[in-house]
Amino acid sequence: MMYRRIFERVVVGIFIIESDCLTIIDFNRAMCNILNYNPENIIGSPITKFSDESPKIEEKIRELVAGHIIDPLVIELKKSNGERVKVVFIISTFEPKHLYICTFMPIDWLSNYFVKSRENQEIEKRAISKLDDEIDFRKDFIMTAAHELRTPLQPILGYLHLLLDDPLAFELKGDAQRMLRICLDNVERERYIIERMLEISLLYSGKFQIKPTSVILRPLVTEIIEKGEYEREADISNEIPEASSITADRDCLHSILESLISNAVQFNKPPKRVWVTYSFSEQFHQLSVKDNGVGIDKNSIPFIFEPFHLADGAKLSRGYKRLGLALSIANKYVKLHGGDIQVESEVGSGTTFTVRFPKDVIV
Amino acid sequence: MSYTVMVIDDDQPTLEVMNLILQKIGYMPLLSQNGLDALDKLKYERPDLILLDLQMMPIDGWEFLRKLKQEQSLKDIPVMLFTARPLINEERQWAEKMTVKVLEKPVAPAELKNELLEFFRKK
Repeated sequence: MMYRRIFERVVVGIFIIESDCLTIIDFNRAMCNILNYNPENIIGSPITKFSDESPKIEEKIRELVAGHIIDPLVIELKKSNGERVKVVFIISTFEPKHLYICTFMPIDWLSNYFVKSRENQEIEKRAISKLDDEIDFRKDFIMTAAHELRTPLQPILGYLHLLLDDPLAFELKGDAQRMLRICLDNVERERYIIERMLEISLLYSGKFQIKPTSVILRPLVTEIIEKGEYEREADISNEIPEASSITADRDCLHSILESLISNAVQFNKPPKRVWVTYSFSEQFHQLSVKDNGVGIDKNSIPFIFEPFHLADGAKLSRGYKRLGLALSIANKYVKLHGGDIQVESEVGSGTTFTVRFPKDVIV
Repeated sequence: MSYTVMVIDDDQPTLEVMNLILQKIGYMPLLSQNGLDALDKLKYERPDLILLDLQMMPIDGWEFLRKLKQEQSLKDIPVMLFTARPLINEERQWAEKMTVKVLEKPVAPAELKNELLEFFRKK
């Protein structure tokens, strides 16, 4: 009964023919609807009543009998009013062997589908192209903004340093020197903000690609510590074994480790201690930066990788002169390598950030 | 004997401050406001290093680099990019192949001093 209901409800036309004399022995409602026939006039009718192309059907049946796999036919069926309707016509075998199922649907249905499908493809193509334009526009905008924001900083920063490196040569005294020092501090802050904003804008523009190479870790960490002069503020142990290397984009890795080391030093109180270590598992290289600093409240941990988030809000931002972008950028870089950053922290005791890089980053 | 460093940049205030900074940190500056002018100057002068801006007219920094590398007598002059425009993707690869370093503006005198010291020490 259930199969009968399915047979009756499907939208494609189906009829069953008996092979000896090609007469119809059963059919469904869709056949009547498509060909506009009264159900009472179908049973026992020869196939020729519905198509002038019955020889083609007979030939396909012969192929089926011979065990061949047959393709669908495109033929014309006759409606009750004599009109012709072009259909895709599929014949398949049935049990007992002398019966065949003929399934058909007007080709218009298919062409409508394909037209719609083509239209959808066009719409999709236009949307992708618009998205590409949008990404290109954003990238161009970021590049131009970067150029326009950074260019005027070069003479400002250059002159301020020249003046303050040798104030007496320019007869700068007391208040004048102090004022210029404040200008320089703020220019440096502006510079830091522009760099981070630029970095994160590029990352979010979707146009940034990593370029992995083999990077030896220990000298990279040493370089970061020396250039950042972090040992002036903290006791830093670079515990990475001499020969350890990973496959990663060197610039990204530099930025990630610099952010983590800088955070470990800045969000800390004397006696400041920082440890940089390396380990590995079957799947991952693991780089950890551990500090004995202020720690992060566990409620804040889920949000620390969001742009502009600082664990202690505006208070820390001002206290530590940070922007809340470094971790977000580091996290993005790590994700581009297929890795992640894990955080363990206890308020008042310190924090450990562990960067995990998959061993199979494609070069 | 101090090294000569050519700065090619279309931003006049940048050229002026670079002139002072280079003198202050012990180098001989050679200044040029665009790539074509620089190519002219290079017919008579041979700097030990070129600091090259990228976004310039009438030819940009990449075009200048291409012309420099095509010229047999000039192709060995080392170039550091000195740019306010960030490099992404294929530009990073070009820079790696054709230049010795990328300096992103702004660069403080002490930073420039360290970069140049490191470069000339290796040379």
